[in-house]
Amino acid sequence: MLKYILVFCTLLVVSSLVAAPKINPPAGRIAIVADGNSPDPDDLGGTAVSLALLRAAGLEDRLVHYSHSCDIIPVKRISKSAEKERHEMMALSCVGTARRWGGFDHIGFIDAKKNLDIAIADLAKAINASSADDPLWIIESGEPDLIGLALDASSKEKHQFVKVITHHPVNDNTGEFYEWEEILEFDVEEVRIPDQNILLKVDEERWDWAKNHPDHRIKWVWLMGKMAEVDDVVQFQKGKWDCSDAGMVYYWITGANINGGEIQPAVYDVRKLLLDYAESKSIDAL
Amino acid sequence: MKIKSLLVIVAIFATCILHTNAQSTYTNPIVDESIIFEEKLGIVAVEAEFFYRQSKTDKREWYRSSKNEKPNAGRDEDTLHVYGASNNAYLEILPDTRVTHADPLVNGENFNNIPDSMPTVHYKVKFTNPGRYYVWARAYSTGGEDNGVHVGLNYKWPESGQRIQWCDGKNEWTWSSKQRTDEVHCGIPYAIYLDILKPGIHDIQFSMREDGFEFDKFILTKDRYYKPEGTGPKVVANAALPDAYPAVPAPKIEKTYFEKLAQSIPKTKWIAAQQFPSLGTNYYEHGKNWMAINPEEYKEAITSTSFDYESGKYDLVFVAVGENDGSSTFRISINGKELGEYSPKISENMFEMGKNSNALWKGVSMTKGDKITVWAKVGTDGQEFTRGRWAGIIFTPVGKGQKIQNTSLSYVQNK
Repeated sequence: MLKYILVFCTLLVVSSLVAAPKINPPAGRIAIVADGNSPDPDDLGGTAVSLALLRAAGLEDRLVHYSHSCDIIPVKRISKSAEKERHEMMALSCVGTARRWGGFDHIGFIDAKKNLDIAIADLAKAINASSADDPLWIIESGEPDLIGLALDASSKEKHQFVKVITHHPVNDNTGEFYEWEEILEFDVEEVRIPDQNILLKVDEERWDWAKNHPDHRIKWVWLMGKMAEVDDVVQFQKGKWDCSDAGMVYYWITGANINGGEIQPAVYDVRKLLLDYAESKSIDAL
Repeated sequence: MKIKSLLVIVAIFATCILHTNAQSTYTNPIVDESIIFEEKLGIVAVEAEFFYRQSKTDKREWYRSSKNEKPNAGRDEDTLHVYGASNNAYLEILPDTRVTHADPLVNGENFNNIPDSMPTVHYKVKFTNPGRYYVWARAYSTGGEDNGVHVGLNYKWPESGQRIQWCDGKNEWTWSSKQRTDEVHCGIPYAIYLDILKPGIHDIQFSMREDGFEFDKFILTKDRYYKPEGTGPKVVANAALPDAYPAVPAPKIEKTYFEKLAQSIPKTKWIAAQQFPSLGTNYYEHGKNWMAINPEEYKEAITSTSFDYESGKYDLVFVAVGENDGSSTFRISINGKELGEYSPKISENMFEMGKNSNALWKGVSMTKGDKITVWAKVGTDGQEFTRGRWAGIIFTPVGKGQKIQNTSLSYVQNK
């Protein structure tokens, strides 16, 4: 009997090891440039999950820049009032997640469209602080314009230490001031992973574990994704819970292209990381 | 000369003349200069075959194709593509001497990167609302050497009209408005446009970039975010247009080995390899059926997608491709848990599909939304490398997997 129990326990340990995400980020710091003010509201959930993932992985200190609403030229598909609402909601997703999950007091969340000069200067400062041992990984969660403007405003010799993670050609090609090729002409490294919508834009019920979770940090993350689902500007988010841009953050946390990061994380990967952290760090201990 | 011989010669001569005349009618316009296409509310649509003249036809010409018009103008290796063409007709630049990359590129003959001297079709369009008009064109591309054209305005060729490119939608009528650059071969969106400075009648021109280009219709729109669907909007002109060409039935398409296999048993589901993402995975789309790895660039690749069928237990058949220069290795995982590793046997022919190249896992529990991952590694015979080719995964009712494995089917590589 003891033999069977030992075999069972071994299998249990092995299977839990297989399922556990491997936190193995590359050297360097991370910057995130999101939109959310453009027609697609998926950055609301993407922002909440990205910040929660960084905190859960113990990598919040490595985040040196977060800007949102980076779609600088408004598109006609969104009304002025809806655009205004989005700016407020993106700010809420940033500060609300940061307050609940903790660990982000060292940075400000910048509305790139409202404070363009500040956002450019902040990202350029992060670029200028880069070196071979401490590169900057920029997560392109929206249009490439702010990234291009910051690269233009930063020291050319630092660009070799900048890596831009991208997952979707639509992001790359919707800039008003910079085409993707112009971003690459700065001699930054392009780190491309597959479309994260494939596994991280899912039927809403696949996030019911978060909706019904007693921990308000988890529930808050669900609420941010739900805000995008109830948004009435576009229809393609209906019935979907979408944190596709956070897939790039997961990729970086698990190794990026240096340590063989997970290029196509799924909801169960995100869930495992967030719940493991929430269960290990009770709210009272914060 | 005997009378009989004379009659034969006369008959051959007459046939040649008739044939030549028939061919030349395919290059003649079917509307004249008095037909003006009209822009309404910032959009105008024109059938390619409604050109009023073509120019610079020394080395190539635009030939019309329809049910009853089958051009014979030298090399043209593809078949007619009338089915699905708007108005059941289209134009093709012939002869087509550059079909594949291996064919020599002769600048000014089968290729023309800068529009100047190659065949050009002209259209009269009346604009009421001046401004920037994004150009969409509908083309049928079968390869990488028939997928580019230039658009011009009033005999000028702005940079924003050069090198319209098609990469997506091979072997089907496909709209594009992307501009090819040295860095982005598949083209940059929103970069193809014409600036109409004044209202009135303007001459819109399409000029050859690659021979063999097949052109169905074009749209000019002021809406940057407009994306045409199907055959696009109706053509509006100042006068009656010719009657529509006769429709043709859909061509019969032979199913590939993977499709036949997947459809051989009822209630079977499948995910073709090319339904998995390739961008950023080290895989590339090989032809129309396979995913593969270019061994000169990578030795391994990994891709995942979502299982979007009904939850339940399935027999799972992984359809790989046997290759003769080694044995590739595949690992299939469901939600990160490996089902197993599989290597198809080395084949006698360069490629082979069949029982020897398929893997079977019985009674696999699948839940809707599960993540399916296919990792592949190229093999080698010590001299050359395989490409890790595979065609897809079949999910068949439990107990039916073996039957699918044993199905004897002929192999077709590409449709």
